[in-house]
Amino acid sequence: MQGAGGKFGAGPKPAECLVGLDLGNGWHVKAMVRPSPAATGGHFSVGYLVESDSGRIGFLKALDFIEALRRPNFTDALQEMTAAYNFERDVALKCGQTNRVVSVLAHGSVRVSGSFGDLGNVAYIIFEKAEGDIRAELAKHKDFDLCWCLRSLHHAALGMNQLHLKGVAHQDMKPSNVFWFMDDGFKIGDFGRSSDQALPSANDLFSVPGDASYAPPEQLYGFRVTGDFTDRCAADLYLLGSLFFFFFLKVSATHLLRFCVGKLGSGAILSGDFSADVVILQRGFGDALGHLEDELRKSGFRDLAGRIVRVVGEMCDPDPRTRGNRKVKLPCRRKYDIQRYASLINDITQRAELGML
Amino acid sequence: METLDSYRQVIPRWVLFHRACETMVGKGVKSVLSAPDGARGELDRLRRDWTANKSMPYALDLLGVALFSDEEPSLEAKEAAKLVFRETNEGDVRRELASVAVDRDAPLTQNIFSVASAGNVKVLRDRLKRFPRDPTTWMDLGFHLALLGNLRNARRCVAAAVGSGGAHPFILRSASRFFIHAGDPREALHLLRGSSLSRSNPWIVSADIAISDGFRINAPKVSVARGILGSGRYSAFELSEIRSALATIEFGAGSGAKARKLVGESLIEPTENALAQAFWAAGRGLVPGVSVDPKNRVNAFEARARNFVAREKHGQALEQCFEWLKFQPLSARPAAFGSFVAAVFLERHEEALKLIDLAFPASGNVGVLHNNKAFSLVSLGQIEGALKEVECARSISSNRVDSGVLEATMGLIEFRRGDVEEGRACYKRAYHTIRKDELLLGLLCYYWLREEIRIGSVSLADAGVSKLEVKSEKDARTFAKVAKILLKL
Repeated sequence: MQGAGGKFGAGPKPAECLVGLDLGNGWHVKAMVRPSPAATGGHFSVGYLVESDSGRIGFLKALDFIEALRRPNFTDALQEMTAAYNFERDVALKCGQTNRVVSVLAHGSVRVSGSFGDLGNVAYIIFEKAEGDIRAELAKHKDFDLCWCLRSLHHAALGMNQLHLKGVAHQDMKPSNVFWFMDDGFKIGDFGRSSDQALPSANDLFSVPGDASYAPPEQLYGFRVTGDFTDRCAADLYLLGSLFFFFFLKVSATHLLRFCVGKLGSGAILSGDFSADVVILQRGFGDALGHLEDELRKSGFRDLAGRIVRVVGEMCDPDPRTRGNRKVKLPCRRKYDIQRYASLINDITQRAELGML
Repeated sequence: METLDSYRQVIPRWVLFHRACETMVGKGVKSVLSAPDGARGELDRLRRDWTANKSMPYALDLLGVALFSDEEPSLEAKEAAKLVFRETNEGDVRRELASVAVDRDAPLTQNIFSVASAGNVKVLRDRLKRFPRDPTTWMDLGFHLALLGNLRNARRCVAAAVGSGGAHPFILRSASRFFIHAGDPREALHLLRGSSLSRSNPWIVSADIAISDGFRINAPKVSVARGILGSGRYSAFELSEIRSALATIEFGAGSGAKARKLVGESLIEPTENALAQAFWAAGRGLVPGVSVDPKNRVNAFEARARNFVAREKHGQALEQCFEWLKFQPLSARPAAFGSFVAAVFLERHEEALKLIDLAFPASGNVGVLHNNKAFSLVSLGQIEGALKEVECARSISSNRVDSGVLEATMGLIEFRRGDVEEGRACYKRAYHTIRKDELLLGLLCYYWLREEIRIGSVSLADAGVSKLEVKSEKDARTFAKVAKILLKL
């Protein structure tokens, strides 16, 4: 293993040597997407563009396990990495057959020729190739098209609902994980941080499994209501609602909430105990919603602004105990039912589309 | 006239939420909502993303993390902030977020919604339509409705606030103050004692003690308070009101040394309420003086007013009373205290009436204010108006001292109406009711003597006083000695 460290220390690693390879299942590796490794899902991977015999373009994610060998406790790291890879692959396969979730087109491993020996075996997953993600799409346009934004949010809600129906919570729903497909609209992807009700994983143990910049406040406090999968569903609802802030204000709901709470000057009142501090968070969130409504109204969507902020208010309530459907009193899966919000967003979208006629 | 040293406890204040936030100092929000470990790697990734794609979403992603990072703002963050400045207008929250992310000392504007809501029931209602799960906004709405005298709807708002945010001291203390305002201190105590914080939180325990002691209902939780003081878990600021409340009880029990020690400790880092309590105690001679200057303390209007009175700077004390009333519009005390200062020490009756009228919408059922208004009206020659106010006060006031004070005011009215005999009879009845209170007795004798001198029945020399003037409580007390002469008339 020492040799491996030295061998891959300066030169390319197996996962970086796939360009030009025939994967043996009808897929051919065309080009590397990211020249350097990017951390996703807690393990390192390298991205490629691949093409099938039929001419379909896909996105290949290759596992770079050499990164694990470089760590002092490499056996643990290797186990963690492979477990995460297997988990992501299994979840993607489980959920990828639905129309609003990015599909897995193939998976397997390929041996890279050269001096890598047995270490040249690279595991991969091939996903549908998207045109881009929400963040990249929004970056292209200065003004937003309300109908397009709402339809995107509706698609994201459908995707999340499809995951929940399969017993999977995404946990890392953020603009860069909602992908844009020219023919199919938006789909959600990247399951590296998800939780599967039927398949325990390391993700279940993290208090903030996804991106902390987008995480719901209870996760930042380490607060859990039920301590089971229901908490993950509550977090998913928040993450979905927070996309509204990103679409219309281009800022994360969590960042805006933190800023609004900071502006209250309530430092001394915040105790670090979520149950006590949630009152302050709710005040800050009320302010954040005010900014959202203000922006919608300024952009000319006066008729729908109130309806939108009420839905977002339910989805992103900083208190997971009151988040979601207010008619359901106790925290349970039904309270955080994404289907309800998919319908509400669809209703708003249709109103917006009718208004455009 | 109501005097300045009626019993006082550190009854919790009820103020608008943004005002409560102003008075709090200490650790910042960042310590609780800071990004978890790994924020450094996150910043690096966001910097790379921004460099590759210089647009608003990437800029705000980077600035949002930079805002809560301990690192110095990077060049990339500064560049991203410039883009946000270009793309947004003045007053846009994103613009402000960007400026704070790259300059921690950038001035923060007050939250526009909080400021607007301070004077606007409609804005508060709109906020609640948008997000009904906001207990502090329910409490603010209740505050405004209580100010307008709409206690029924205010009670509903308070119930909604307690229902959704009853685990927070701000909500519990504000709600308990509402029940006191509504004349139901038992309900206030019931609410505090039913909370999960009732045995562990210094803010709740101090409120409990102050209400139990102030209204003489139930035994104060002294042992719980001592346990909290000995726990070493709380800052001097958090403990200031509990120490103050205990000190007041110790004064009542005659344990002056213990009380003075507690008052001293309460002033290490006092709330404005604890500071006001210390000045009140100093005014009664219970502590030798107050070492803390209230001059630059946020919202310490009451403490400043009491301090100015002690230093016989009554004009400045009156100014502070107006500010105190703005800060505590649901309390009758600023108007009672201020109208006393204005009428007795300054003889500025118009200002006394102005202060009372400002307090009336919320405190119209407080007999003392009607009495003080009657006094100022009769002093300005408006006898009919004064009589109406006395009638109002009589229908409200129930205790013995209040009725004695009212008799004295009635005596003044009768003198001004020309009915000297009835005036004297009123003053005599008042004397028998309030003779044990040296200050009230001194004031009664002063005004009675003033009327007798005005009609020429007595001279200053007959009374054995050198001048007919009251510039301090001490001056007022000196007039008690003329009671014997006056009672013979």
